Amino acid sequence: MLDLPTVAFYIIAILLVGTALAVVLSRNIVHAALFLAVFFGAAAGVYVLLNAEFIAIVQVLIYAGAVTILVLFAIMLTQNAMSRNANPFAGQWWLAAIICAALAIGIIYAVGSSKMALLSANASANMTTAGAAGGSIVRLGQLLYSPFDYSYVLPFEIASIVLLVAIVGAIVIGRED
Amino acid sequence: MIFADISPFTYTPGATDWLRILPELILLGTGLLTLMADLVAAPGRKGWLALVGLAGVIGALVATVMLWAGGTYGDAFYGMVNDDRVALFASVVILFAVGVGLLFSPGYVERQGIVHAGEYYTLMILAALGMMLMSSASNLMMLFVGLEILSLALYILSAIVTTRRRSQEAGMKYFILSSFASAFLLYGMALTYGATGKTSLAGIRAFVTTHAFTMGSGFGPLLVVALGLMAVGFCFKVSAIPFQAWTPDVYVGAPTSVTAFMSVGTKVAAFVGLARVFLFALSPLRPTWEPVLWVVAVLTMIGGNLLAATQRDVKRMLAYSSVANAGYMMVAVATHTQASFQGLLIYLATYAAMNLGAFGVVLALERRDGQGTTLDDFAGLGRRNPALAALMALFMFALAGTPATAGFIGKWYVFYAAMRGAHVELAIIGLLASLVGVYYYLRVVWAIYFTEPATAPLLVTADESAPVHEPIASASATATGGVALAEPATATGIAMATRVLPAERAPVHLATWLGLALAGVLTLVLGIVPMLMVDWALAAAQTLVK
Repeated sequence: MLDLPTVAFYIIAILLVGTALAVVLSRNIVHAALFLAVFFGAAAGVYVLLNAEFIAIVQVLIYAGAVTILVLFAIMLTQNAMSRNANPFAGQWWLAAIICAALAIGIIYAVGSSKMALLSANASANMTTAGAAGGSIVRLGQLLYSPFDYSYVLPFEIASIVLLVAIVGAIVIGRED
Repeated sequence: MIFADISPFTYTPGATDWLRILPELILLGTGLLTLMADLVAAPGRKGWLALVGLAGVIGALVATVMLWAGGTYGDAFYGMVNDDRVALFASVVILFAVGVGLLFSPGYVERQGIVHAGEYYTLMILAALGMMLMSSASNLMMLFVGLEILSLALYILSAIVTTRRRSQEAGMKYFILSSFASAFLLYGMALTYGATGKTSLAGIRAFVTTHAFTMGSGFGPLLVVALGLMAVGFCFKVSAIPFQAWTPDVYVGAPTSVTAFMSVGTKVAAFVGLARVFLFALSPLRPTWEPVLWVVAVLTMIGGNLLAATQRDVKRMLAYSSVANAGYMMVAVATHTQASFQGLLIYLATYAAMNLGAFGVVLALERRDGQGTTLDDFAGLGRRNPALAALMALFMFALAGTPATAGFIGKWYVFYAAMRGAHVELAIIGLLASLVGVYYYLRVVWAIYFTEPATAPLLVTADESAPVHEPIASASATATGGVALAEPATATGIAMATRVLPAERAPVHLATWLGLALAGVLTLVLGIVPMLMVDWALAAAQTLVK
């Protein structure tokens, strides 16, 4: 019997594999970069299914947002992106195919034989407790501001100084005089 | 009511929490103040921002001394930072470095025509803040956040001379290579957390003390990989061989005032961070990491000294000398006793005084195009500018390790601790390597007093307006030193050339003199009456290494 998460998983899985292939195979490199954005978004969907909402949000923000934009900028600034065959097929595609196949077999073997694998006894118990505690975001928030054990308030706040330095630096480097 | 079960999670830090990071808070306030004050400062007249920064540095210094005198140290913000003696000792050295760096700046910033002078001072102060946070961290998170603040600020500072391609290149190189090193370090920290379940240094120490460490133990392999990755990250930051390749290019390309400050400050922060992780948190795993750091120490001492001996550009020679000095400090880490950690702290303090001074003299001699720092430029300095020459000689004798200077005290405590701590071979290798050091340091003194300029250099009055074109220091320039760069823009200026004695190049700024005097006095004082500092370093060492 297929429940909702399973159906969602299969939809996301098909999307993932399809867009991944499209990234590699599409002839227009801008299209490839856009497929990459969809791919990152679908990967976020997998994280949601795994009860890792925080990583899913970070995935969307950093990968689908920042990294894709960076890739697009790099393409735009370095070459004539609108030419029809901007993503020529590399001659060593067969080598890439062999490496990918080997990697896939390795991962499938590792996941199948791991103690953390879905089929093992502990896994389902782990998943239910993670869900019951209110998901990863609540736990993260509690850890950030917890007055009981140790809290990460100070590094969290000081990260803003890192951002300040980065902003000042960006202005120094980028401003025309 | 949804807030009912959330309200217990409101964390309010107490007064002692704030008190323990008071020096850092003062420095942060100063940094923000200079950023704001930059808005009202007239372009080209921003030297007074250095004074504002200096006032903040002195304030932070007073706060540090008060915390030391208060004597009650401990964790703040739930084990994120602490104000133990090690942190305070390191803070004093870092504040001294940034103070002297700020004194060196106004004259240099003006001469180099640095456009972003306001941001320059802000970034310098914030870099010092990052260094202090890193050296007072008691949690891997804080260690990394502090490291990132100081690294980001220093990338920008290295590249801040927009008219000099070598400065831009230095910033770019430093950014790319150092980001890799940060990533290594972060990966190592993540694996440490994965293996022990803790990010606090005390928690990690407790875990590895109570759990037997074997490769079959599940966390064993993780910790070994983590140790390796963190060692790579730290070795890069302290520019130990084989991770030193960035050092000469960045130190030569960056503005000299920045080089002086970062060569000292980064070493203090990174070595104290290294000591906190390896000598405190992962101390029980000593048999695993000790051989690695032993090899790094030997390579760095020998390689750094040999590479420095081949340089003709004094600024580049000092860059390699800072690699060699990292090797001596690594000896103290590899020895891993209380006495050797005391030696490390003493070495950091003495190194700060003499190295800041040496770079300060180079800064005073450097011309607008970044040239004028080769041995030939030092020739005959003894007659042209006796005061500057005497100071340079003092710093060179100190770096060579002559008795009655600070350099001797640092080397003495490190090598003596190595001998007592069953590492006689490290002490012997170190002594032999520093003999090479004597050669290249004293060669500068020889040039100053016993040589004449080969041909009175045809210096250009149009020096100030000459267009700056210098070859980009490529990989080959790394090997050949500054030789390839030794011919400045004479071709363009030769028509207007008159015989100008190099002494008349540019008057040395008053603040630069003050900074040089401070460094010089400290080099002598720490060399002749080091007892007070030695006691402080011992008190600091006792809090970290039992």
